[in-house]
Amino acid sequence: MTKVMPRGAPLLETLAGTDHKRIGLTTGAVAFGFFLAGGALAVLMRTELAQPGLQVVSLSTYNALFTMHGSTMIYLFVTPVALALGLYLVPLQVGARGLAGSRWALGGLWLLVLGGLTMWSGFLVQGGAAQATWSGFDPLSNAVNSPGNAMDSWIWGVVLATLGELLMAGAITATLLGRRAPGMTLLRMPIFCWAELVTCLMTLFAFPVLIGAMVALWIDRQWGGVFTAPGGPVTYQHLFWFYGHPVVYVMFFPFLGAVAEVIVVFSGKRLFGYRGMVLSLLVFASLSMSVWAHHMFTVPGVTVEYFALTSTLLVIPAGTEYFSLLGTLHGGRIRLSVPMLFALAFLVQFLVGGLSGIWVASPALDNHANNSYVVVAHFHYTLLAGSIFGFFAGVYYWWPKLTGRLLGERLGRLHVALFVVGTNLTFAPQFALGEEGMARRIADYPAGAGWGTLNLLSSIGSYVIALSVLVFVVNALVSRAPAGPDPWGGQTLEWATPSPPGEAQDLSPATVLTAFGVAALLSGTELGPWCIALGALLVAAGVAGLVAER
Amino acid sequence: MIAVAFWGALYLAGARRARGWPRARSAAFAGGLALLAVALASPLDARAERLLSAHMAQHLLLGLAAPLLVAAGAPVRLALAALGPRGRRWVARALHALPLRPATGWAAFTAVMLGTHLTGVYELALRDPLIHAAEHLAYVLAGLLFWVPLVGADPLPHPPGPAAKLAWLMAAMPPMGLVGARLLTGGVAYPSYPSLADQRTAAGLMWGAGSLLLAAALVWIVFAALVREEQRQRRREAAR
Repeated sequence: MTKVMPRGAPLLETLAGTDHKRIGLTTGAVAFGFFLAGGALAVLMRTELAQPGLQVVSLSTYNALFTMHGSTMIYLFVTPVALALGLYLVPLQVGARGLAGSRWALGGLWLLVLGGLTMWSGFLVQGGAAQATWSGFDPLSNAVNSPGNAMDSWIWGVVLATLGELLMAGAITATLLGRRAPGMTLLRMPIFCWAELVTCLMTLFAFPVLIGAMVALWIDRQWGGVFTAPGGPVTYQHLFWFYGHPVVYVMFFPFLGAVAEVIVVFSGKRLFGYRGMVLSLLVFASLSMSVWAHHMFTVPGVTVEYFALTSTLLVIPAGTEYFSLLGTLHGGRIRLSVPMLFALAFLVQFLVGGLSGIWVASPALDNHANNSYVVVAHFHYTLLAGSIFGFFAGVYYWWPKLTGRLLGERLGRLHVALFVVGTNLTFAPQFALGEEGMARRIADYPAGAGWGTLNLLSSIGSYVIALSVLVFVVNALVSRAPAGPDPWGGQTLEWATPSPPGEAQDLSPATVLTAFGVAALLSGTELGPWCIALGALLVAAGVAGLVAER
Repeated sequence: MIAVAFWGALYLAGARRARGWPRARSAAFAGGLALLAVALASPLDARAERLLSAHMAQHLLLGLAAPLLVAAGAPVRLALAALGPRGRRWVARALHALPLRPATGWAAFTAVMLGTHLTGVYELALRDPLIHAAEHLAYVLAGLLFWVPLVGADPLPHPPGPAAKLAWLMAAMPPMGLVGARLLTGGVAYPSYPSLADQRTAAGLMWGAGSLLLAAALVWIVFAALVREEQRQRRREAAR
């Protein structure tokens, strides 16, 4: 099937066009919009925390701020933007003529937008947006403790956005498995495609469980009886973290893949230890299904030994990946352009997040760090200093391909410098604050605790980050230098196309949407949530297997 | 025990007749049979009467570890190599008739895992030795159905590709995780095993050890399949 849209109707094409590049770009733009919005909430929070006492917001508004900041960043920015890169680049990199199931992806984009708006509509209702943290733990999120519509709109926002991400992941997986050019064996795919494949498989397995848990939570809020049995809240935590840990890798691997591509090209070499890297991605994917309870070390009754073991085992594939990247750098002809600067900064910055991860993977140490700012610092060093540095490395690297224009080098360098300074200034003090006992998710702290200086530094750092993002936006708006098809000497197929690439021929027939059915609910027993999760999981696992087998 | 000895003798006879049969395959098959023997006829079986954790270890051996090694021993390939033309035709017909696809194997494995652990079947089996024996047989058969298409040592009419193997192996982790999570979070699951502490250990075994075993198998099987695919493509290109 060829192009069905009339030319010269850009809005219509954005809304309904099935060209994978347009879907990818729009998804990325929507996600970036949510990044700016979520970032604004973060700056507000840091402003409140800059000194002891309540100056800017009320306690409940602060709760809404951190809830919506976390939810926005995770459900509406990092995950969709990770998939958006795949939507745009995967068909080009594997030599496919289009995205398999591009209508899935388009539907996913709509669902993402709808979900985001639903979630943010909470700010409009009385009492403000949802306040039950990004994880929505029961009983904090139940009808008694979180009354009002905002919590419900949060739940449905999460469901819609997650469903959209599932559809996108399905389309990318099908493309990777069924649409590769002849001769493109799986072991010849660019490492970014491997990262996307593993990411999408984890998405297909983990996200249905979140949808199941959210629907169960909503039913519990309406009629009760789902998580009310003894152990119900722990059941919710298990379901949530079964999604919540794989999603950490979903939010990380595509950017690791981007960093690897950048390091390869700007070292002028092939990837060192390509097969080792693929192997380590496989190990990560398989272990990702069995480490979730390390988020629950302090919950009574969790077999901490096993989860500490599986979590600590992750250092082996992580180390392999580092050696692979360092080995690529070694002896290369290194060009320090902006993408490479971001990639190198990623290597150093993410190391802090990774090493502090080994620390909290130990139950004894985690008991001390749990619920403190140490955890906040740790996951921001992985998600901001890891994923977002990788994201910007990818953005600077692929921007010429996406737009046909080069981003300004001088503004880019300023962006890197400000981002590195801001990130460390914001989050390094938080390790110290957590160590001294400052709890996370608090709007105020006693003046006598002596935390004022470190908090002030951290807040200044967050302004520096905001400034650096502003520099990027300016750079994107003002830079006009034409790029040509291959400004970097890239090694992968997308650089053999013009910048931006021409219209793709979408050859896929209309594809049936897969309904992720929710099993019938047995309320009043603790079997209810298990049944929901089980149903969703079995359907998802079966579908993933069948898709993969095609 | 007799069955284990019988299959062992049969395999040995086959390996003698088929020239140049790889030792690694024989070793894998012997290892699989040894694990079966350990599960059914060692002190573990006696312990399993009293301790849920020992019982779970037994189930993991029967349903996961032993069938994996047996499948890696490529018994069907050996039968094809060792038998005469009539026997071969018979084996080939059986291969086409049997549902040796990952979807069937995964469904069987999931059904047996969840069906025996999350329902009343577990208690029933403890009371009736016949049902217990049937349960153990179901583990071994489901394990074989699951592993044979995924290991890929035996020649099959419809072998799955590397990515399909990856997906099916990942799909096998959630069922075991769910059994583990149920045993971890709920109260006493089986009246015959009242100790909650031991139930937690059993859950950890099911979850941790089971997942680790699957993870190791995943890396080995998928990577071997990837390399094989790449080698095939290189041969194809060299022939051009």
